[in-house]
Amino acid sequence: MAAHKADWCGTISKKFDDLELHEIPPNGQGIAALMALGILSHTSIRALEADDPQAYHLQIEAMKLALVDAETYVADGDHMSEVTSEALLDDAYLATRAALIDPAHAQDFGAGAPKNGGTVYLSAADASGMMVSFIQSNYAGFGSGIAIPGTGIAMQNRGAGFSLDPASPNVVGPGKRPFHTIIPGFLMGADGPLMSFGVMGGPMQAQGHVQMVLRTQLWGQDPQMAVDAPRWRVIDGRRIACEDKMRADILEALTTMGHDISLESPDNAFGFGGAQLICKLGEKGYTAGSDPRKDGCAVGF
Amino acid sequence: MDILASHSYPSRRSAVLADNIVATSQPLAAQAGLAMLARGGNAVDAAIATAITLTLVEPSGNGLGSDAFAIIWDGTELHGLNASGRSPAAWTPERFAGQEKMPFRGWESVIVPGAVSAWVALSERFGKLPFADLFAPAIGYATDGFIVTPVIAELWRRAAADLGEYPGFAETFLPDGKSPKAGERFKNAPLARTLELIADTKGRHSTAESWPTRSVFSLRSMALR
Repeated sequence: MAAHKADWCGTISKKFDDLELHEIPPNGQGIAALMALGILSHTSIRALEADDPQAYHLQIEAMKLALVDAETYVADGDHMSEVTSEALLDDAYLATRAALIDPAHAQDFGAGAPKNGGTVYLSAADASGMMVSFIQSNYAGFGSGIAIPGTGIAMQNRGAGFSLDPASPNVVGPGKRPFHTIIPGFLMGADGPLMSFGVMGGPMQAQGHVQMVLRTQLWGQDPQMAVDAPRWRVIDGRRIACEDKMRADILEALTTMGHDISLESPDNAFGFGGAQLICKLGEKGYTAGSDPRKDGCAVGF
Repeated sequence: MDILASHSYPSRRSAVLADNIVATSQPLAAQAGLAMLARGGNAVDAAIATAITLTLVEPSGNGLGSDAFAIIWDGTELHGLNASGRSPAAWTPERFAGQEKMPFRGWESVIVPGAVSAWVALSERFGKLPFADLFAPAIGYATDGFIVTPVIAELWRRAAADLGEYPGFAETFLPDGKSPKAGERFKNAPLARTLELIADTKGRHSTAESWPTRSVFSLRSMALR
């Protein structure tokens, strides 16, 4: 800790009409949320309602395309020499990816989502207009399992985020940052900040960012409703997990399209993450939602 | 009374509306941040105090050995902070030769943690309150104890089964050999002392009389070698 220095790294972003989603540049998976949103901007999603099965299908397929690239190319930014963040976010490239989506059938693009993780996310906003999106994690629950006696310090296991494939830019090496699942999100609009938000939970994070952005902005849901809504999660191949509270007709339509769905209870698996959203209300004031899957709350004055 | 992580009946919440808000996954941590706003701090002070408190009250998700990232809207522009740690200098691919994937638990999965560096960087650049003040709620709860919440208690219970044999885990997290149940009080006096040390030195304690410094320094030398 004494040796480590945090880097002011700026953000990377992607536009969807007037919205601009900002994420931390790699080594994190935030770029996957940007890619998925960029791919979706080339689809018919704007014409669909929030709970139209077609809207779910497009999001799931876009997410799979983004995840397969993130898995292949994301590493410590200093080591992403062959395929850069810029190339992955290029509009023409994302349009070609969007063209791969079949509106009627689920496909296997070879993508897998990152593993489960133990993470905390928080958002804070004040009357002066300052907004903070912050995420902190030991990776697996309690991290490495190692705690330093007499200090209360439990050590993370983020080293497990490295690859052992010599061809991967994320292959383990000295003094290097591993691929990271944890990502704070921040959404800007044409006139300034719209939402400081995050969704903790390893495989859920980039997928959760996309779902929260679309629910609050495209479909106008308030932050608590967006957080409460049943979530889906890409597992791998055609496999997706859906929360067991998702409407039966949606599940049926997705199954017909070829999605291989496993139903999971949010409180059994902790696999759908925990979201916290703070949205700006016009000039002054905020509205917040806090995930009922967790113990927390939004508080204010 | 059973305080449960999952309920038999649906519950609903309304969105929260206010000029100052903190939202997170544990109520005491959210209110630790709000307390900083109430005494004149800004959203960055609130975020740091909440993050510090979370290392105590939600050990299933994070701790002092965590990494962190943040995005800050300062009223005029956006800033991104990457406080994820780096691997030790000895971590060449050869070190892990013959293994199919990276070790998932134990020392061979540990890299230098960056969370404290995030708190320091954020406070130095944007904070209004003294850095040490942001630690008060967490140190109070660590010293006097706090009541464990249900979802976190459930994750704690699962971890106890998996991690009980790892170095230091039981001593730190399993008082009387068991994970605390929801509704039970948990204290972490050693963490209170470490938090005091970080509060006083901004994580840059340079003398080696205490354990945290030694261990952090040995990690540091691993990373720098």
